[in-house]
Amino acid sequence: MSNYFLKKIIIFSLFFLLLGGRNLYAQSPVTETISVSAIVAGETVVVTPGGGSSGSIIIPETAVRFSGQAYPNALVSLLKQGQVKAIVKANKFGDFTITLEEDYDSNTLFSLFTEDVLGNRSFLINYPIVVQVGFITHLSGIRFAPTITTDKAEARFGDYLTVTGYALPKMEMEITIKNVEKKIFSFISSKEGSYKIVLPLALLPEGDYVVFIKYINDNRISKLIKFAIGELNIFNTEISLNIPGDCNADKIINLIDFSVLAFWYGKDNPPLCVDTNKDNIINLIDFSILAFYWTG
Amino acid sequence: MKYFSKTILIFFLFLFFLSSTKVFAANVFVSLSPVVNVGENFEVLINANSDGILINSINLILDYNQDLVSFSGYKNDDALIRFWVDSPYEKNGNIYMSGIIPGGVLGLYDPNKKELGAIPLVSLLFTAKKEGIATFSFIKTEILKHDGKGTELIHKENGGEVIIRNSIIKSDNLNTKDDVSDKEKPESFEITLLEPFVFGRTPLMIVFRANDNGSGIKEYKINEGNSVWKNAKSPQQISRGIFSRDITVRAFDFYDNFQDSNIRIPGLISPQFLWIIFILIIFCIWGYKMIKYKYEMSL
Repeated sequence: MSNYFLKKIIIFSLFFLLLGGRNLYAQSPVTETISVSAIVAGETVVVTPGGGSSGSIIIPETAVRFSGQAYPNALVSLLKQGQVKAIVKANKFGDFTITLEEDYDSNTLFSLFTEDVLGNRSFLINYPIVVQVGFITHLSGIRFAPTITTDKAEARFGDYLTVTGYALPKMEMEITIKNVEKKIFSFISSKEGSYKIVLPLALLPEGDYVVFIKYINDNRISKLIKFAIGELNIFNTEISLNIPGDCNADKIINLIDFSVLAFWYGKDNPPLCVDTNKDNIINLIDFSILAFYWTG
Repeated sequence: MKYFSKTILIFFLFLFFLSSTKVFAANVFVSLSPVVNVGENFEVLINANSDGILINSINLILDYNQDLVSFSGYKNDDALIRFWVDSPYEKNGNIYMSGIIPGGVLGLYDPNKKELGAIPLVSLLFTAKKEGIATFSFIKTEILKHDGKGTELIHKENGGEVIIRNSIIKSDNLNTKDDVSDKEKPESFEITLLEPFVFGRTPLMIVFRANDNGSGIKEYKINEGNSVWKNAKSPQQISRGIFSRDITVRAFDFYDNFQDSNIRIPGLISPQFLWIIFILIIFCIWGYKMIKYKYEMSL
């Protein structure tokens, strides 16, 4: 009997180990291939990608450099402690490089965002970096998720949803429509980086959904766009993009929206636009959702 | 055979627990100097190791020995929380704080390290008052993922302690921070007027956010055109007067250094509007007198 019991425990343990012991409480880590390096400063180098500039420049003694991929001809902004310090234009392949002179030794929060040629912004990506005096700290391998817009805030049952945006040229991507279940469509962006996909909604029941896009084999996702499947087609207008927390509908999430949320923090009966998760309470979760959609 | 089975069982149980430890790899912890002297100021850095998961919000309550150390502020440089829902404040021997990192953060990128470093959340400042061992422990820790839903990150927490010595001579071997008494006033800051949105329920407010690298912002006070200074917090609801008026916001750091900033709040009646009314009245009086004069002349 005891042998039987022992066998059961061993089988259970093996089962647990093989089928997900390590992932029991999986918290979906972000796997990015970002590399950070420091090289001795002071040499003359040639900057080629991004910015449309070329030629020899003297690299300052202490600097940080960011390089990676945005979208063709996109504008990439670099912020230091929340203040815009540099803007460069990515080349026709979407590659960019930004170098910023630094003057002291510390941990500094740098943030990057990009705007595609139609002015649609990506999410903000943060890189807190240990800056070392006398070195160029180079962070490479940055890749922004594609931008995304939809044509409808509500689609009629059985109709179509058109999703457009910008990405790297000729990249394999997948678009996900999600509520309780999720539906994934794969496609490839054009050689100019733009994409347009018309999604059939015939098999999806009425309800609230989110749609987002990402490169295949990349964990960083685009903005989450909310839409509903209902009885009518309601097209998106310029003033209504349904961004959580954007009460002034300026398509930007910044200190103003943070302040409005802070005003309603802990108060009863908050306005719908402030209550980002619609639970009728303003707490840290609402701030977290606002921080997710932050554009600066 | 029985012995063999037991060995296998122990082996698998060992593997089981080893694998389970991965579950709580994320943690929030304090780092501080091991030894300080009485009268010295020192930093307690609160870090988070998110185990490769983007995080964007924290809510912490830290307990400390009030009889041994006193809370003397917080530092902004080197730490990442800049948008405070509640900036660090002391209440009954606990430090309360909650804030966000817009855009989320994964870890600290250090070219000298192969892996991402822990995220420096906030640097708290304390002053050693008495000899002893002061402990810092978490009462509550809440870390939210940067996933657009505010999901909580499963994690564990680790406090820390510092030995406080009653030493008059400062030893070079002691790994303590420099004296961080703050003599600089907060940096200059701007006040933004936030008009109510059309059909919105959010009232007229002013928004301000001062920064003090020495000891952090302790409090704000507001003066609405009279001599009374009242406590304020951004965003601050204000009323719109009949006439425009100046409002001053004063930001204090933890050493009572302060910085002022002003804003003019437009009233319901602007000076231009008053001028127009005045001109209209003059015009009406003149018109009336002209009509009256012509009428009298016609008689």
